[in-house]
Amino acid sequence: MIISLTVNGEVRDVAVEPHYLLSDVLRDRLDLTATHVGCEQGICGACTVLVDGQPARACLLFAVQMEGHAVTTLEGGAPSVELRALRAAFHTHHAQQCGFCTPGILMTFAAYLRDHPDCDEAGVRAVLGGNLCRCTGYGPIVRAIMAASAALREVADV
Amino acid sequence: MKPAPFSYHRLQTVAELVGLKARLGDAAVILAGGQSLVPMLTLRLSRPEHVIDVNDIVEMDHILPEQDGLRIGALVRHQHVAESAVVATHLPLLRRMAGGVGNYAVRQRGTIGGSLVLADPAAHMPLAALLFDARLVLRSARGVRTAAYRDLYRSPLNCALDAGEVVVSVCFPRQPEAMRAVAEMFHVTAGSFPALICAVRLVADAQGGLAGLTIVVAAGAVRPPVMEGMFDDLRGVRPDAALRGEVVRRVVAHMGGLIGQDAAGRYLLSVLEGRMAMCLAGAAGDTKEGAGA
Ligand SMILES: Cc1cc2nc3c(=O)[nH]c(=O)nc-3n(C[C@H](O)[C@H](O)[C@H](O)COP(=O)(O)OP(=O)(O)OC[C@H]3O[C@@H](n4cnc5c(N)ncnc54)[C@H](O)[C@@H]3O)c2cc1C
Ligand code: FES
Ligand code: FES
Repeated sequence: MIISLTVNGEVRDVAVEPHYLLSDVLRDRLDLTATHVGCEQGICGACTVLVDGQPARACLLFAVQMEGHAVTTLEGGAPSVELRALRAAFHTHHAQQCGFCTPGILMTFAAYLRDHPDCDEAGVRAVLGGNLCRCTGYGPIVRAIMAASAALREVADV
Repeated sequence: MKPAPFSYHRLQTVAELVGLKARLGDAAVILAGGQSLVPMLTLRLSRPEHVIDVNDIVEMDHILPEQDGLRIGALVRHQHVAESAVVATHLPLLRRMAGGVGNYAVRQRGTIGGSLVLADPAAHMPLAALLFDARLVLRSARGVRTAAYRDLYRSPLNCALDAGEVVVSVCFPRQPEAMRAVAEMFHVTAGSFPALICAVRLVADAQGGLAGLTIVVAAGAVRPPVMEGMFDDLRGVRPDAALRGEVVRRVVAHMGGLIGQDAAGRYLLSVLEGRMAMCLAGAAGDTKEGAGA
């Protein structure tokens, strides 16, 4: 079957079977390989994308389900202000090593910081519990997210 | 592994859903949040011929305070419950339980109906439904019926719906003024199922004595027991430290009989002992010791 997927603001027609996972269609059909696949069971968070603006595991969705919904991946043409702040802070705080976990973390927190502008570190750590990182020990990631959050508040105050 | 092929159906109404379920029978499974079903399909633990996507059925997506309690549509996401002001007013503990499910991304999609039908023994929403004696509104081509979740939840992963039945909504009964409910969760790893949840629902009488006590514990791979009748002899007694110690002893003894006394079981029981005491202190309003909720 051919479905119309709205990915990163662009409508793309793509031939899929109903049992194709969104993560596979993004990577293998649409060449959007920033969405990583680790566990394929919802645990590691590497495949997290935004569906209608909220984080969702791409490995736990079928691509056919996404007709009529907006999917955003890290490649998203016009990155949100949260995503730009996170990227800058990840750079400054060395919050990635191999980078396998990074796209899922960026997508998750782009939404979380947007919806929780006054978040605290405990809240950030609780949400980060949904994304596994085998390299960094999480410390730099937490610092980067807190820095991005502070930077966003400064922008908002001006 | 990848899911095996299936035919996909995306429906808009409950009427269509029960019609299609009646026609396809066991060859079809319902896809709600997919947070448990999709991993099962990917691991090929389940290979249905038909998958019925219910995510568009808006009539199953509502939170309504009603005369006799709180009605929550089967399709309501955990995150919605966790952020709902209505739930916070009526059943604060339910809100906290929903906020404890898995992780942020899982909560955005996972639904209360899917959780209750799955009946995972370690899960949050089934435990809350057992604690508050929630009723499920079930529909099939034969009509509508209401059933207590305590009766439907027979054993782990076994919520006994009749053939062709779907969950439309869940009703949490209205609670008495003097009810306090507290829960404690114990995680070994963040972002996934807890190793232990214990929850207390305590109703006080006018003199501050026990008018009702319900305790549900999720630990080990057993259907969480609802402990209620075993406290009948304590009615009217003030829930002071001595009484609470007695309750903890009974609960730990009961759970010990269910989850076994190997090293893992003993460890869980020791955690249970501490958390149970915290819950009871909180429910009794003893904030010095209690975590409150
Ligand atoms: C990484 C991870 C961690 C998790 N951690 C937790 C946790 O800590 N606590 C917890 O409670 N849960 C946890 N979960 C599970 C999560 O809560 C799921 O949302 C839930 O188990 C199933 O809900 P769902 O909407 O995703 O259902 P689905 O996966 O879509 O369906 C589950 C089952 O219910 C049936 N079903 C769904 N809706 C209906 C309906 N309306 N009528 C009849 N049958 C129906 C389906 O056919 C299927 O058999 C976790 C999941 C993941 C992936
Ligand atoms: S690949 Fe989707 S959560 Fe791990
Ligand atoms: S940077 Fe390697 S997994 Fe996180």
